[in-house]
Amino acid sequence: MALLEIRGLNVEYPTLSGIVRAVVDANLEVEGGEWVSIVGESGSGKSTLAYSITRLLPPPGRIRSGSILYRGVDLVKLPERELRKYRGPEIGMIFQDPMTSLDPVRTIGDQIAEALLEHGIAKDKAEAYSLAGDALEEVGIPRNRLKSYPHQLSGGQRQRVLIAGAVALNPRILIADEPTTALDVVVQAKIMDLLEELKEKHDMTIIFITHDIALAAERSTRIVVMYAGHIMEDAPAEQLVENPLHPYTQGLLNATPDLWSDKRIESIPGYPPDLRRPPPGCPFHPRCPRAWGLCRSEKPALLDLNGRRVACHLYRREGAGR
Amino acid sequence: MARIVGRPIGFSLAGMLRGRYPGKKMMLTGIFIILFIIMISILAPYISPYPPAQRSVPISQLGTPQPPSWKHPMGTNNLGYDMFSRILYGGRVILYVVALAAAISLGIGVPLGLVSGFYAGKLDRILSVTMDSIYAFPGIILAIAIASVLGPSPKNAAISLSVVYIPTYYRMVRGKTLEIKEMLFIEAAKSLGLPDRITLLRHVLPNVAPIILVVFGLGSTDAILTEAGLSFFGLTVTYPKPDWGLDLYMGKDYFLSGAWWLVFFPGLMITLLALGFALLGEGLAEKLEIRTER
Amino acid sequence: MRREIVVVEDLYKYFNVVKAGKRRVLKAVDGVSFKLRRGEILGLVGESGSGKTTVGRLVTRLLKPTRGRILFDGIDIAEMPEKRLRPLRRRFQMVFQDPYASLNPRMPIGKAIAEPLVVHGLAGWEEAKRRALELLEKVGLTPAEDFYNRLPSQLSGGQRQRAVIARAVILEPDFIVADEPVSMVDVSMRASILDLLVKLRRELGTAMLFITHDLAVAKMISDRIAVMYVGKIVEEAPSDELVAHPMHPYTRALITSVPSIAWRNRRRFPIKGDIADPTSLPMGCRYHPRCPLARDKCRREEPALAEARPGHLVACHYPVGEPLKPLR
Repeated sequence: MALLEIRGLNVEYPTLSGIVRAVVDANLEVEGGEWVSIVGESGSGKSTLAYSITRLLPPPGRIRSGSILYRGVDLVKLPERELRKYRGPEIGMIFQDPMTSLDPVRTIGDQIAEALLEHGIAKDKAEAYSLAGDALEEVGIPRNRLKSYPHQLSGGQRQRVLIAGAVALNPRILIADEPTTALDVVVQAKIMDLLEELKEKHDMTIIFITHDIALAAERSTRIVVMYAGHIMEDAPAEQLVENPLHPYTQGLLNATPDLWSDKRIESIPGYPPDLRRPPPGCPFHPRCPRAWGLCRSEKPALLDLNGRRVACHLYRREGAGR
Repeated sequence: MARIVGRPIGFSLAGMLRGRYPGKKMMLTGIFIILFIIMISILAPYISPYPPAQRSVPISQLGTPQPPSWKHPMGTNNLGYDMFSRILYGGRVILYVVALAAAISLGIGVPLGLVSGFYAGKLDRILSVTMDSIYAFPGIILAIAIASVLGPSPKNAAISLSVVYIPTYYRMVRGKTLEIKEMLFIEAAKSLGLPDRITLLRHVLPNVAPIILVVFGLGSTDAILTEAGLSFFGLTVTYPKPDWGLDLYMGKDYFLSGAWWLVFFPGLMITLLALGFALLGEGLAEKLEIRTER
Repeated sequence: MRREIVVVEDLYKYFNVVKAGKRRVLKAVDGVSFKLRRGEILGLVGESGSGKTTVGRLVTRLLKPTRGRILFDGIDIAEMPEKRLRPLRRRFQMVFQDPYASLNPRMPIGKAIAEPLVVHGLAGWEEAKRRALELLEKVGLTPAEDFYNRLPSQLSGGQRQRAVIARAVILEPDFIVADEPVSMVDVSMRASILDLLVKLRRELGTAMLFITHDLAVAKMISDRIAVMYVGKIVEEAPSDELVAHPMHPYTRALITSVPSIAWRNRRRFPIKGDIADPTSLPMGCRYHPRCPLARDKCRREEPALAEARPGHLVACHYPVGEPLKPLR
């Protein structure tokens, strides 16, 4: 059994002008030890998918149907009080903007120690502080910084503090939502190194949300590409960037400039669909250069193709043959 | 998130009735109340059963207020005036005074707030201190003081109300201008070489306008109560002109002897009108807050 | 006609700030010089806090420099009062990063695009509208008639940025400062915006200062790239040369940190610590505390920007000799 198994997940945001279907029929399995990157542009549902796992959806988001099995336990059905035991010690999260996820008026030591006490990992305050200090050192911040306030740290350091706080609880899965997007490339590279190192050391599984397919390609074992709430393609990282199957993945790669390639980048024509009124058939068909009749009427299923998956009618025959 | 597609923000009546937005019920209720009161004030000569300041009861009943009856649904007062007719007429003064006061406050408070917020500097500091000191004064007392100096008349009442409410408009408009001024599109206007006058009128003002509407709604609520206070002290019109505030004053002496209707109906109307503006203001605030959020 | 449309010489911008209760001087731009020929695109690259955006705002005179010269077509605009500057402003324009904030939310975009023509007395509203419609067509906001009356809230991020660009070019400026114009636009739509800028440059001969933190984008669009580090340009070279042979240790670290699919297993050039504090810069070379190659001289003497190879300027006492990867 996979460590995490998302089945038929549907997430929506009711708004005054209609229901935004942010995640549609998502199926995804994550094995222990993987680094799965979920790649997509704004509105693709990548963050929504990740936030559903711990049910931390921003209001008015709600899970309409589906199940999320973590080691066999359905997190969707769990009462809030039970679920709280999973958030942190089992599944940790770090976010894009470390400033907003840290309390500006309390020391970072307080904030890390609090979580350790809350989850019973430390017996008393003294132990909590000592463990918090260890956690800081592990992410490359000296322990005397325990008494610092968030504003006294740089952006990169704040992200390290968040990582320290999450990893101190020793989670099996770490969900990282664009943790480097607000950071400069040099700092980004270092944070990525740190995540990689901690993943090995603590035997963690990482679910990494990003809009940057190049960043994902460098570090992940597997990449999941999302578009307009749908999983379009799911493949080992190497295969996905070397041999993308879905026209959207191909388009995304063609649109991504690369320092070390002289290819001309090209935009995908058109605009993403309005998720309150998604087009019939494949959500990508209005922008797809290879769309044909069936794409406009029937939504393609996510097909299994030798260890990778793709949701596209172009691969229908091969899919049916399996 | 999904592409944000909004509709143009307009204040057309049709648009307000059609759309679905927060605060709609409040706003429409408020507008309905205000329109209703304006209507009865306009139509008073045609719908009131008696002249508002003429005896409508037999001489024998003079001096004793008569309770509501079929002939006099809101009773009569000690002079035998029909209270229902007086109520229908009684909104005229308050509406006139409040409308005039709002116009003066808008006309002075808004431009001052815009200029003050946009240019900052010395002018801004002087204006801010002046306005704040007026603002800090209890409104009703200040209005009474000014109205007493100017002498009782609706126009003077409106002027004294304006003095009290200009700072409210000024402060809100200045605050919003300060906020808008920092936005990128104002800098963009500068980089395009737009003169300040055009930047202010075309780019700042339209973005400040919604807040002016909210202040108008909520400020007028306050102004109505203050106006009623002025009338109560005889600083707008003189008896026997029909006016809710004044009738409230005249009725209060009979309240203890059981003539509740002399106080109740004028009071109710003042409250209702104030409520109308309050609902309008709150509704607008709720609608616009959602609109400006992203 | 002068070959250079913009010449910036020894530009400084200091801000007085209060930090930890003390008055400090923040050296946002600390002696920057560069030239832009007509029709040329110079990429100005740096991390946040490098001062690149301040440079952009100085050359468009949204800020007044502390000292230095900004020659626009031979005229020094560095100290020019706003009144005299206003008529000149139509010749240089700025495109801001945030297309959501740089358009008046209550003005239809067509009117916003037409407005500069009217304000500068170059056309009446009728004529301006006609020109705006043409431009809407040109930047790909079609049907133009439909887009003319839309409010910014009815446009997507990419569409708004096109409108912002249309507004900037309606005056046919000689020079545009584009401050991170695609960083808030989705990847799949970036290329078309960049293509649009390149096309306008070709048609109008507009020079452009393209400010970005994204080296890959800079390399794609720029003829030359200048790399800034805390207020100073540390290296400047033709784009391909800069990427293939970064000589400054900072540029090298920056370039090898950029995620790349084409060269995934590259070795990153080492860099220590955090970006220097612009309120208390280190002695000597401002990069030396982070530099793996720093020696004594670096701690004492600040290196000047000098030509190390033809057309390749670098401010380093010990520039790196060998190319990063042979040019293909």
